[in-house]
Amino acid sequence: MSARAVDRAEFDARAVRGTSSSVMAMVLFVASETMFFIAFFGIYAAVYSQQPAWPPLKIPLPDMGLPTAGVIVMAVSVIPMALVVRSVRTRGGAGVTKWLVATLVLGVAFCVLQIAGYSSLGFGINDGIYASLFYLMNGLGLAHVIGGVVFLVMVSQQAAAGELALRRDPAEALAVYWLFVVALTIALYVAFFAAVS
Amino acid sequence: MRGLRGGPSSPRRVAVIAAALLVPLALAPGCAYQGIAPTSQKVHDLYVTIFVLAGAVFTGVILWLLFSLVAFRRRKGDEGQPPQREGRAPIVVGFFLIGLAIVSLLFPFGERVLASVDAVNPNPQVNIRMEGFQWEWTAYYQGEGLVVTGKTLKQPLVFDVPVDEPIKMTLVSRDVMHEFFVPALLFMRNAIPGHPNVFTFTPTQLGTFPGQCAQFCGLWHSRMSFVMRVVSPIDYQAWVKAEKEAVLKVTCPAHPGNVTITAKNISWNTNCLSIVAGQPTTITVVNDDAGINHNFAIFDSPDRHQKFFQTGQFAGVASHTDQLPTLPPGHYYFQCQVHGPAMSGVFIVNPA
Amino acid sequence: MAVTEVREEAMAPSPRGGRILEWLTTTDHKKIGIMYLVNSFIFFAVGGILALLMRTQLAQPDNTFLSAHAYNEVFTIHGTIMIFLVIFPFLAGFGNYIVPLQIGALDMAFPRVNALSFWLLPVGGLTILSGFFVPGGAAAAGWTAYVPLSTQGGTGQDLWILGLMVVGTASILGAINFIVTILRMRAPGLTMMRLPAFTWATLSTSLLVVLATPVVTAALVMLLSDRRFGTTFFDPAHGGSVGYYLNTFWFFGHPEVYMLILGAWGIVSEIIPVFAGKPLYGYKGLVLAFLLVTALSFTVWAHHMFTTGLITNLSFFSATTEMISVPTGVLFFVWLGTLWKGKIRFEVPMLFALGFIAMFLIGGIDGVWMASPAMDYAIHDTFWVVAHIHYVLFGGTIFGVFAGIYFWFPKMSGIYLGDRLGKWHFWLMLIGFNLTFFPMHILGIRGMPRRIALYGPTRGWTFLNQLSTLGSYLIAISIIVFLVNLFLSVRKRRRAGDDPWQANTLEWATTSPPPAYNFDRLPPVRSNRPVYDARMKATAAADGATGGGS
Ligand code: HEA
Ligand code: HEA
Ligand code: CUA
Ligand SMILES: [Cu+2]
Repeated sequence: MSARAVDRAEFDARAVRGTSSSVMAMVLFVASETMFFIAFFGIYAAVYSQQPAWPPLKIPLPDMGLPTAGVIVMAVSVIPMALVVRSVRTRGGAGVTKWLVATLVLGVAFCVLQIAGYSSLGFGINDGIYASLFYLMNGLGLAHVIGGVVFLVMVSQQAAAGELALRRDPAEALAVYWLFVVALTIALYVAFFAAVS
Repeated sequence: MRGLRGGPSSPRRVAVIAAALLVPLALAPGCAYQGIAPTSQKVHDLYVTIFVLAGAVFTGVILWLLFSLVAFRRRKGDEGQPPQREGRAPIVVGFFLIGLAIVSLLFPFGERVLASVDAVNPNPQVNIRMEGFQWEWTAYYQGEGLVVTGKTLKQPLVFDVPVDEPIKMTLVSRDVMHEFFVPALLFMRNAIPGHPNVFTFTPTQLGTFPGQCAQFCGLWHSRMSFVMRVVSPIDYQAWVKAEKEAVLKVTCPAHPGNVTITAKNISWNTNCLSIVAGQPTTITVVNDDAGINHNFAIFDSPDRHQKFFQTGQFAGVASHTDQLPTLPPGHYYFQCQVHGPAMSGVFIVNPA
Repeated sequence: MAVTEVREEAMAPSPRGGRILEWLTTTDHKKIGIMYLVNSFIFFAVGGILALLMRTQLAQPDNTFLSAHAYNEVFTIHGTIMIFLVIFPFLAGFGNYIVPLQIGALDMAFPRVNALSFWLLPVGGLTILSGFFVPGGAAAAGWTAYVPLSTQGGTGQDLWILGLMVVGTASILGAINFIVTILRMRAPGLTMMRLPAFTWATLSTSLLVVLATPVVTAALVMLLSDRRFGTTFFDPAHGGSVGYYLNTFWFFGHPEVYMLILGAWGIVSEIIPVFAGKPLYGYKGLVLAFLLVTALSFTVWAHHMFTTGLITNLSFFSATTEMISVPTGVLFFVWLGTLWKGKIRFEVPMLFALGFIAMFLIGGIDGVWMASPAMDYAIHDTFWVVAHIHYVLFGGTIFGVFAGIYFWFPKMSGIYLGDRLGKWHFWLMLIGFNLTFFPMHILGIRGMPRRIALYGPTRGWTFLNQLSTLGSYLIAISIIVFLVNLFLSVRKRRRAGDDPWQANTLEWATTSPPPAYNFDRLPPVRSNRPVYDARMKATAAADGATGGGS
């Protein structure tokens, strides 16, 4: 069979079908990250069910003010992120930079609030199992939000360069990841502030 | 064309090899221990039951495979295609059902044995707290007030249990995970820090049975062995008595002024220290175990009702010298509090 | 038969320095795949040589060939290397090379991420091995690194943890890449239910990696933190528990072992139909079995903890574990059904595939004893388990990997691997393998615990250990035969055509080796055997032209 003629069109068609691969990859990545945190929440649940008091007696409950503000800020950031997605989906990217920056501001605000709120805890990382869970889970949570902020900056740069008018998948992938970190911060807040006894 | 060779010699060789494989397999059931307790006999029977079922599966599959290889080999010069069957649904469903049937047959056997092995006897006659630590075992006979231990790398723990009596064993660990394993009992159970494990068994066969730690526990895991002797009740009583007396029977010449004791490979260089009452005496503890903590403490007896003296714990290689208290003449008991009876001996204060 | 013609520029040799740089910087899935395979083979030699050291130590009671500490380091690194840097990357290497070809894609979905996933592997592997050169030596707590023992070791243990985190991250990135590639880059007509078996296997493996590997990363993070930052996750004296580590590790650990076999099942399921001259018998059952194994493997982890006393519902885990035999058994019936009334050609790849069936069968059946908790109380942590893992991992996966090498080497290079030496390799390895690992069953039921550097002369274990050591040297010889074969075949260059085995799947529709862009044009895909269909059509056309044939 001779095939000098390269059937390019066929490959191109498949390439186009592949454009939102990055969103699918991000969904899988988030699934993986979720399993990572489930391991911690699983241990949290086991410890929680065994302790007579939560937090354990010698651990002072951290001041709730700033963390509460932080989690509200994070929850609110879903709105501009939704508008980012709407903008790339239905408006060819018009106004997307504005909403990206809004999300970015809220994300940075959360990081600041979190760091400020946890800067003067009444217990250290080596004060037993509650402290272990608190420091590691919140620390990893914060690291993931910071990762999200970096991602936001990168996508904002693409937006500034006008790329989001052509491709919507960076913004969509970002939204998937951002939704994950928002859910994560809320779960962490519930675990360490709402579930006290 | 290439790729159409491979005459009948290959399948024949396959058959020979596979047959050679079946031979040791057939011998295998005879290798398992019969078990020295009723529960372990049940495990032995379970082994054979699974052997029969799994052996049938193995033999069936291998024979099917061998038959196919011989019967359906491509003959020389045969260039035609075999019929292109893709598999009919009922047969494929049947594939699932075969396995399901075997599993349903097998599972209940295991469950029944499990229930009887795991059942804890409510009226144990002997109650042993078996403590594992790196790298030795110590048995605390709760009722008899007896402690027996091995000496790491020197001499394994030897402990006796009476025949036909239910024995309760509580496994604890002082450091990492260990595992109490007696092959002839067809049983093992972990000793885990923070999680005591309890089991009971009733040995019905007299004899001396080697055992050892089965859970990897570091450097000398391979040497964490012990010996369980199943003896008659009379011998058991005699053994308990002798062991209790033995500890304090040792003697050695007195060293007025200073005694020195050296820890190496998790054991002391002596099981007897002797001083003279009324003389101020110092003790030098030498620790030759790099990175491992030891200390030295004196008690009234192996039961440790009263403590008279203890040094601080320190890691080797190092040595410390301390002043000993004045004690009335008599026999005392000493040990390292990190390693317990595995590092212990008698401390004699001679009348002046 | 190929629909691809090799273009001149693709064949033009480039200067040597440029070639090396090209390999180091490549994002071509085929080059990356080959690098995976080479890298895995190098680590296989390292892990194998460590194994030979162990076997030499165990050849005599109370042997002094290795110190106790050295023995502990050696089996720890042997297990770790073999699992994380040999078996898994071998299968990922085939996945890289073969999967895009099998689905008619240009490359992986994310070629640069793909290169990254590869390069992280040697980095992680060398990190683990570098432990041998730090004070205190390499990690020596077993590949399972049970706490509290693993909180004791020195820097080597930290390097082990960090290395595994790197390897784990690499495999997650790789797995995401595979899933996206398979779901989105298939050729027109190649529906999911027409995917080749090996592609299905890679997809299932990747799902396991994405969902299970992060869990072990979490366990490693906690372990490192307990060791270095003063947390107490696994310290019962401060509210933690040993059980948290065990459960987390094995929640990953069991899916892990299926990550190590699914790919080999895939390879064998490609080879059996080709050399039987028939389609897979019950392709849909096979796919269902893959998926069931994938799902069930998340429900069985506590069968590694039957003797710990930490598990309260042993029966549940016993039942799920035994249930896994059901879909696994289906695979055997599919393979046997495929052989039935076929016309079997005993080429070297086929020999390895048949060896796989017989050896993996033994390994799988070994598992049935351990799946019964009361039985496991007698054989857990003995050489029975060592026998099981080698029958499934070596008798299973390594045989599968060699089947794959002999099968796809002509595709990757355009030349055959030698036939004669290939057969020598197979028979030596089969005999050596059984000599090494079969006696371990008996050692296991005679009570020889695993991971012991020394055993006394009075336990009656000496002879069987010596047989086993002898066998391991025979395996080493068989591997040397393989290397010689490789060397001679490359020198002799016996050319293989594009479709030397008369195979079924799309990788055989292009040239051997395929050009950088894989295909000029694809044959139409109307079944799960597009190349077979094309071959039949061509034969029919030729027959029609000459007016004869049936
Ligand atoms: C490739 C890797 C691989 C695979 C595929 C398997 C497959 C299986 N494994 Fe294995 N396993 C390991 C790798 C693997 N294992 C490793 C590495 C360890 C040790 C970890 C460590 O501690 O270091 C281990 C340990 C291990 C244990 C823990 C033992 C212990 O520590 O005490 C158990 C217990 O249940 C077990 C069971 C099984 C079972 C039931 C299967 C089943 O999937 C097998 C199913 C297959 C068959 C049964 C054969 C074919 C079936 C038929 C022909 C159908 C009819 C038959 C029946 C229905 C019975 N394995
Ligand atoms: C895929 C996995 C895999 C493979 C292939 C192997 C292969 C081998 N294994 Fe291993 N093994 C494990 C996985 C594997 N193992 C695991 C997971 C453990 C548990 C670890 C633990 O307990 O933590 C284990 C444990 C283990 C033990 C038990 C240790 C103990 O508990 O005390 C033993 C003992 O005999 C052993 C032996 C062998 C031998 C002889 C081989 C042989 O088959 C090896 C054959 C290979 C070679 C001989 C290489 C030859 C190559 C050359 C000669 C070429 C040289 C060329 C150049 C340098 C260019 N293995
Ligand atoms: Cu204690 Cu092994
Ligand atoms: Cu398992």
